Amino acid sequence: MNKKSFNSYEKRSASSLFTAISMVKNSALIVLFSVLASIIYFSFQNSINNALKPRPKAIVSKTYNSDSNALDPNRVEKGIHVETGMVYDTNFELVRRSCTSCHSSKLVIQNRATREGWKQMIDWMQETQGLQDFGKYEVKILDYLEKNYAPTDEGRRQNLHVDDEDWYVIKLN
Amino acid sequence: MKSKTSNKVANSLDRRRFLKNTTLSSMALVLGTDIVFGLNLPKGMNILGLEGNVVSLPGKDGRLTILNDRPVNAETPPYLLDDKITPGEMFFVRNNGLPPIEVDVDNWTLTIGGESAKKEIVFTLAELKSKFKQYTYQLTLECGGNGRKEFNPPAKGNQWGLGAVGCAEWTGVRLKDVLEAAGMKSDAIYIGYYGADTHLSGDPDKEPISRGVPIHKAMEKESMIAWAMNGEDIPMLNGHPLRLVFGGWPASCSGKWLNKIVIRNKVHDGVKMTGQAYRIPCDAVEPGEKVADEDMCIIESMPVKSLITFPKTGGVISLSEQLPIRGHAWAGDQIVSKVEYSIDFGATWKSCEMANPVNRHAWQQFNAIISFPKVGYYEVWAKATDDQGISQPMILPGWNPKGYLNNACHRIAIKVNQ
Repeated sequence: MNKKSFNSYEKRSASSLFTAISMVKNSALIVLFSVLASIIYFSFQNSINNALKPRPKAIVSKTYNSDSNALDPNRVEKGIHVETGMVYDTNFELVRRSCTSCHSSKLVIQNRATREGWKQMIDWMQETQGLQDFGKYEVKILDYLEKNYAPTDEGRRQNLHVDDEDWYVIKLN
Repeated sequence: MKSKTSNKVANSLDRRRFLKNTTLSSMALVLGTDIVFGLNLPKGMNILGLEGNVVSLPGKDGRLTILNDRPVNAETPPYLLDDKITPGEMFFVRNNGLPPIEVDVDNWTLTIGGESAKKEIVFTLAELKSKFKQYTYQLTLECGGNGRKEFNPPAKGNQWGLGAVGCAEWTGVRLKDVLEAAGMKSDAIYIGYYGADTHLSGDPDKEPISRGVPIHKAMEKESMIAWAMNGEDIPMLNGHPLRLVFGGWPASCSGKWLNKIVIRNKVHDGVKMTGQAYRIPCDAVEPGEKVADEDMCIIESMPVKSLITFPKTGGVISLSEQLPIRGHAWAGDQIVSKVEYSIDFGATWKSCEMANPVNRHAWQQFNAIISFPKVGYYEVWAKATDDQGISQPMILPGWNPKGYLNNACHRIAIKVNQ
């Protein structure tokens, strides 16, 4: 186990008591909500069904549970958290939870910015997109983003790159 | 993370765990809109985070590159844009908000209003189709941020590569005819649109986007209110049942799920018309420079550009073979007058054969047959020139804070073997 993942592992154990308490709380909540839900549902069945008419569907390949080929949500390969594509480093869980409750992790990992640049993006989301104030966690979130998603000097134009496995023989008639 | 649960971050984590342990239907009742989307996803998917890999979008080819799934943003790899007329399933998607949940085509209306309209007037979709003459044009739409990925220092936002562009055949009515039916006051200078999409936050008082164009662009004969793409309903993600189409201008001008047009006596000041959105520095700046809002100017016509759509990059051929190449070129409000290619990194250029546009703002096809002198690694570069003599640059054009208007020439990699 390398240093990075060990740090994160320690963090997870430390929060296990907190997790257990919240599970009990959640179970009680589930029962309560299920009863309420049934009452509401049977009273307003039609209007609810109407309200739930589909938005465009997205088809998803990787799933959290149920089927046998489900991907382990905690799988990390070569320092990358597989499900999100994010770098698995200190504060990963915090950043993941803070960012992906509103948008895809894809939006995080395709961007590069300085600490100031990331701060500006968070400010913009808070001012215009209804993002919560992160309070004391903002520093940790910025630490992670600054370290793992910093800009590199790409010059005025990058080399073309084709992965070894992507070269193909052109079929001509 | 051992802090009090009253902390907002911790609360949202609780909420998340709760959701994961609950059935879809009871979640739907508790959370409403979040789950409207979620209900349609396969069971077991991580609903709030949408972190699962989305492999295809409704009505779209599975090979599109998805940059973001909330809001949906997807681009088309160049080799999938080989058709003269881009099929609906290959047409890129750039959404700013969430598409409307329910589209009631029979009761869909378009309101024309604003301070410079002589009267407010409402048309149903059926009235638009029956009261006005219908037209069909091939019009090129390109996202203002297409190519953003290459800018250095990097610009924030969706990191578009090459494929946020397409040219479809649109059917509808002329915006001009509809504006004239409402009547324009003499002080009219701009139009703005509103659509039925909703802001990402779900706040019904917030518009995800409301842009527009100056009156002179609105009055062009190819400026359309369209309901059909390639003879069929416009794909849901591209604005069904009604949208604006302004060929050659940033595609964000062409409002989707269109339900209102305002005629303005000033530059429209809707969401993403102001600040830095869809603007570039009025005067060129050094890369990385901060630019004040008042020094940013609205992007109008897009620059000259081209794409090689055959072959796909990474192709290998043998020295005895000749390589046919083909693609499209377009130039905003202008016409492309020539396309050239280079196989020696821009040292020498040869002409391609090329077609005239079917109509103004339609992209134009080019092709050539290349003989390679010897084995080795090559790059095929394509460079279009418009009727004003303006060409594509080979390196990145002028840097701008939001990363718009990258029209650097398209390059593909080719290996020639013995």
